[in-house]
Amino acid sequence: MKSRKMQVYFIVFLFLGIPLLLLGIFTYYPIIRGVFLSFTKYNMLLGTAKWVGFENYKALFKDKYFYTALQNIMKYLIVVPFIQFFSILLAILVNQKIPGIKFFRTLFYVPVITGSVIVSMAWKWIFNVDGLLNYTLLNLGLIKEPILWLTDSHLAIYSAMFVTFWRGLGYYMVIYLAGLQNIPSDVYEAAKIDGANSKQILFKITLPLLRPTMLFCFIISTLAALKVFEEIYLLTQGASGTATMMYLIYDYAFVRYKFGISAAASVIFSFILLIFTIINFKFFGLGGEKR
Amino acid sequence: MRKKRKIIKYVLTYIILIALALFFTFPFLWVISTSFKGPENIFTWPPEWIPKKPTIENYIAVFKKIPMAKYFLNTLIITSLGVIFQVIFASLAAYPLARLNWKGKNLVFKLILLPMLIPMQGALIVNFITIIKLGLYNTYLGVVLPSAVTIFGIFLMRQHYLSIPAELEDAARIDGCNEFQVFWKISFPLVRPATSALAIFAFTAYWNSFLWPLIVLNSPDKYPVQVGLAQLSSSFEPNFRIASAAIVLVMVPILVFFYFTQRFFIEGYKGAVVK
Repeated sequence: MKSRKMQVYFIVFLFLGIPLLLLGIFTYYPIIRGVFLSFTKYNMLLGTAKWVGFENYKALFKDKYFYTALQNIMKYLIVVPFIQFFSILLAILVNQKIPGIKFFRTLFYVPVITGSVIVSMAWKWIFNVDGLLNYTLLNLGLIKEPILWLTDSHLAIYSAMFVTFWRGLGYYMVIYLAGLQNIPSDVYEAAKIDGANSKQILFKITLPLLRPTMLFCFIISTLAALKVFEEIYLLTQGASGTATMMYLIYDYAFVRYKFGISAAASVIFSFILLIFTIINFKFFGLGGEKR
Repeated sequence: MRKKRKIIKYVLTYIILIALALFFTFPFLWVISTSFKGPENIFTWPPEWIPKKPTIENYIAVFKKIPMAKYFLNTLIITSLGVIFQVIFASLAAYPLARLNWKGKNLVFKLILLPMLIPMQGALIVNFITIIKLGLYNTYLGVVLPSAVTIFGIFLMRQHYLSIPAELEDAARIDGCNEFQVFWKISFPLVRPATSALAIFAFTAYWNSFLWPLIVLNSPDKYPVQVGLAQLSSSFEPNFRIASAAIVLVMVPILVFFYFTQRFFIEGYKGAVVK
């Protein structure tokens, strides 16, 4: 019997050893090291870090793009309710049992599956000054001058938000669809026997039972909106006042090689994400629920 | 009267579905259409959705001017390495967490879940430095290693191991199986369907990954297709007929893959959200 216990511990070490080591190096260590790095000036060539106190944070607070980035991620949150509302509608629409519905589901999911690079490139050509959208609007006589969808500093961020919205709909549609299909059919049958109309079924049964899915989707889409990067990188390269926090972190580290300032921005951004996660948990009361 | 209303509802539903299908696919249709156009007129009014004189010269140009085949090979290597790592490590790590009794099990599991609650962004820079120090900069392994173990993967596999009835394992033990045999002959075969779901999620994640490979790779002959494409969009800006052809070439494999695996996507979420 003792040898069996030995076997168990042997398996524990063997199976968990490497995974925990990798998690340690690439997930836990960066949490501590990242904070430390934000107080240093990092020399790329020598690989040495010199303690500079709050210098990086001071530099960041003087950078006007930092404030643009903060504003932009807040603006980006507008996408969340829109994306949730329309993806629920979509999920209800494609949850009907009618011929060919699977084909439509697949089509609606195409923007998700093709990935952000392709989606952003395609939309870049639509939004360009001489792109499809301006071209169509000009020829229809709806506008006289081409609109600078991606280079006007008031407009560009909203164009990027639209792409995020368009790309995300199918993703959340599938999650809501899974949620809808988890609702047992006898609940609906019971409601129909009791004489409920389709409006009552929607508001009294479907939506309340979809609540756990909604909470899940709200949390992940809030975090995704705050963390947006690819659309910005590919549509505008962060120009025209479209820099987001992730773009700023990337730009400081890998374009300007100021690792310390980038780390400082990461620390601040992590706090922002933490605050929103706490708000989400408190607001939706997810903390107490067993998941 | 009722039948008539039903028919109207049917027709309306399909009109909405078709309109939405166009809304979600028109940028791609435009890209596909452009990729077959000649140099003379990309813009005509009304826009030509089906080119009058279709040509495949853009596709030939793609292979001549851009190392497309190389990009595909790179993506293939990165994606397969990543999927294999993720599936193996998650299947192994989740087993003792779900099925074995040992001291500190709950503590280890809580520690593993902890980073899910702390949205830490420092990883981008620190992991970059770590990869350089490990001598993995500009290698495929450097692209894959930081995400070789995912918390999501361990969590998903653990849920599936938990659903195995304990009687099965106990019966095997009574029949004289040692602990390894219990895992290899009983438990693992029972969760194998879940590994394919995990593999598919991992595949799409690696296929579409962009920021990390962009940072860790510096020689273009190591670029996966997504990074290669993105570089294209800046260097071939004026000539988007060629870039369109490249996009179509990248899009087709992933769409074919999705077509054959789509049921896993909905099924996968069904498990993930509710549990």
